[in-house]
Amino acid sequence: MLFGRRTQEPADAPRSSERVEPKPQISTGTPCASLARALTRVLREPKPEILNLGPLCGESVVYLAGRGARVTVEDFDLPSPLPPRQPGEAAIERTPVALEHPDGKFHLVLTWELTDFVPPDRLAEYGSELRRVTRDGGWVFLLSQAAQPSPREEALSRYRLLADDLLVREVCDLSPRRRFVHPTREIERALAGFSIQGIHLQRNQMREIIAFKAGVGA
Amino acid sequence: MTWLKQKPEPDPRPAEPFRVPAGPEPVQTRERTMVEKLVNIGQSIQIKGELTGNEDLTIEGKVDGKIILKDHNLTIGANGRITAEIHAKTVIVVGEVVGNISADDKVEVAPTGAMKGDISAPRVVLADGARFKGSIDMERKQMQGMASSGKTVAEMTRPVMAKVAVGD
Repeated sequence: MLFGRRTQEPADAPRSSERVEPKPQISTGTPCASLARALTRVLREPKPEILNLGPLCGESVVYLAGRGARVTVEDFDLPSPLPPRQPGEAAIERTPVALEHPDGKFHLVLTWELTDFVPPDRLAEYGSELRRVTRDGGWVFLLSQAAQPSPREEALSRYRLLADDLLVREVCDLSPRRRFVHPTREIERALAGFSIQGIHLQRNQMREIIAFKAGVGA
Repeated sequence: MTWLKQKPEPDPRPAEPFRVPAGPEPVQTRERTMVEKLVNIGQSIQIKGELTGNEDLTIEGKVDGKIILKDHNLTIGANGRITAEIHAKTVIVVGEVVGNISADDKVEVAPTGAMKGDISAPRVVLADGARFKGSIDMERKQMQGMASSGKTVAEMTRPVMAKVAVGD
């Protein structure tokens, strides 16, 4: 035979002239066991209070509210680094890191990756404020990138909750900021008063940190 | 003269009261219905005080005070600036709201919407891009009723078991 036998195409195969529409990619999300652990504990309460810091993801907030929680959304103003101070120079007035909520209000504080955008010299202040708004027996969940930041400023990301243990990271169109890489030990120090329950390093160099605020006698 | 005979004779029966013939409704009524469906507070209108009503409403102006539209829908248009406590069946925020919203059905904050206050509704939609500061409570009426009746979640959600009489 002069020509090889042509393989038969399946009946539903598109013709070469037809334009093949790309299939929409379904995001499956990244597993996040630490968050699931915190949510399992917190959602046992009759009406848990959850604080969501960082860029708003409406679906996540509604998801948590649908699970029976009262979700508070805070558009937190990130602190700027302190200006360098010369010896003998008067102290510069600075805006304190403040969350406009009463002490010990929340069962769970979700800070996502906001910690990465807090300058190292304000990290302790930030951790102290998290501790203030978390109630005894409450939890704090944060994500922090271990990878070195790019020389350019980076945009904040928001996290879409698909399930208790499934997250999708989406970069927002908010104004980009400088990202810092805090050593794990520094984050632990900033979370003084919390008991670190787990630090999990994901494949994408993201650290999941979950901490518990033990109350008096707990 | 035959044509004179065709002249109708006066009816001896008493005259009936006048009735409106059945047919298409008058134009005036139809226009009024259309106006009722498009109730709108315009961009140049400012209201201070309590606003209540029994029809759907769209606000493009400014309202300070309280808005109550029981069993009806409220839309805060793109130009709407509201500083008020709101209670309605459905609330759609496309403009700006400062104050708490309580809805019997749904609260929706559009991507262009901005809200500062607490939302209490069985269904909530927060579009990506919307600005929101406050808290969300999606407690259902069923659960509220449960709380008042003193029953637990397990009691309320327990499946009903059919009683089956087993004969010999």
